[in-house]
Amino acid sequence: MKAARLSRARASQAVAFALLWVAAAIVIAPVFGILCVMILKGARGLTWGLLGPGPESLLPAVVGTLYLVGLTAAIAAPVGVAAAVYLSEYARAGPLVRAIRLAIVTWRVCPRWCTGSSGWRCS
Amino acid sequence: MKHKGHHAGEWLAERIVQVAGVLAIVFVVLIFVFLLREATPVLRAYSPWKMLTGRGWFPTAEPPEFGLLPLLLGSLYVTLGALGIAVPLGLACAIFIGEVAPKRLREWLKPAVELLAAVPSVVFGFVGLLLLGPWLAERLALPVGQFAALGSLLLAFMAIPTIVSVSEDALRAVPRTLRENSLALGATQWQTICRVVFPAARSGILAAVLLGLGRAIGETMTVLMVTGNAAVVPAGFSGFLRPVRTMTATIAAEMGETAYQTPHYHALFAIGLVLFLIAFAVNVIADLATRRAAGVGR
Repeated sequence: MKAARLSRARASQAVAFALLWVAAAIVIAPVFGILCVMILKGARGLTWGLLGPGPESLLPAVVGTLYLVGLTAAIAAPVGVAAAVYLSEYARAGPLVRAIRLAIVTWRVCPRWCTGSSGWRCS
Repeated sequence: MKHKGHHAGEWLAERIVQVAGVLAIVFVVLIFVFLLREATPVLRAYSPWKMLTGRGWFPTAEPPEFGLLPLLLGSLYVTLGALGIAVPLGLACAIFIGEVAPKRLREWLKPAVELLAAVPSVVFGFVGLLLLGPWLAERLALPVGQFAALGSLLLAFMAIPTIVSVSEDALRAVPRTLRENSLALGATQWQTICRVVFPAARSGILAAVLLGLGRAIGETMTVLMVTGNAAVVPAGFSGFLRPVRTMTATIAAEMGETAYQTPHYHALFAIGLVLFLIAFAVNVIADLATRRAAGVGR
């Protein structure tokens, strides 16, 4: 009896672990899938002309992105790091810290549009 | 505090970083106030209840109809579908990384999952729109390659990194002695995971699920690209295989087209307000769950 129960427990563990392996594989598959698709479909279009002055040039978009990201980091990094220093070094557990953490997560998952519309409207 | 007067600089530094922290609250409140202000005219003109339950979204008709029901249900279908895929996969992956995987594999798997979080949403949308959608439509004999379940599938993979990392933290926070006791009593590793580790971590896991939900419901770009954007009320299970339109996609698609300060414009802000409130409610619940987890775990 005991041996049967033990072997059943072992069998269900084997099945469960096999399923966990499969789940992990499914989660990881798109990482490589997307990478492969991008390379297979995109490699042919990847030419030096994209960075040149021609009409097919991506340069304006690339430089525009760099400007945007650079300025974003310049604004966000000091404030973000300062807030993190406050939360981890100075703040004591309490309503204020809770409110700050709540605001941060709300902000993070708050539809991007909420932030975007504010700027769009005020410009 | 102990070194009072020790350094005025120290005091100043603390105030500065405190202000940075408080700024987070200020901005979120400002966003809320702004949404409320811009949505007020339409909420005055049409009753909020009528908007929430209205079945027709015809903002440019004469007279316009601002029924949010198709959009709310569209978001609900896509989001719940995403959770249906992401929660089992994400939790399984977290358990695998935290409890089962060989150490080498674990060290390699974690960054790979985080890489998934780094894929821009527009790339997900692109892959879904051009490859996955048509392929699935052909296999399942669907009329169009843009439907709710496709959005769910893509959103699921955007929510999975959040679910994996938060719930893996929760699993890791379970004291080692609990596991050892269980194993010493003769339980197999799987029994230990199911009946000891998982229940002990459940508050943190709930928080992980809710954060994943928050991530999915606010996503705009991917759903705009792959769900077809037909503002019809989805019904039954087949609703998953038909085009739907979510709240986020509606705002993104129509904001640029609408005239400033028209009822349509204000109605879009009303949608934004609804989304904000949903995101906020989800986070409050997640916050309560994590606090409980912290209280129980220690």
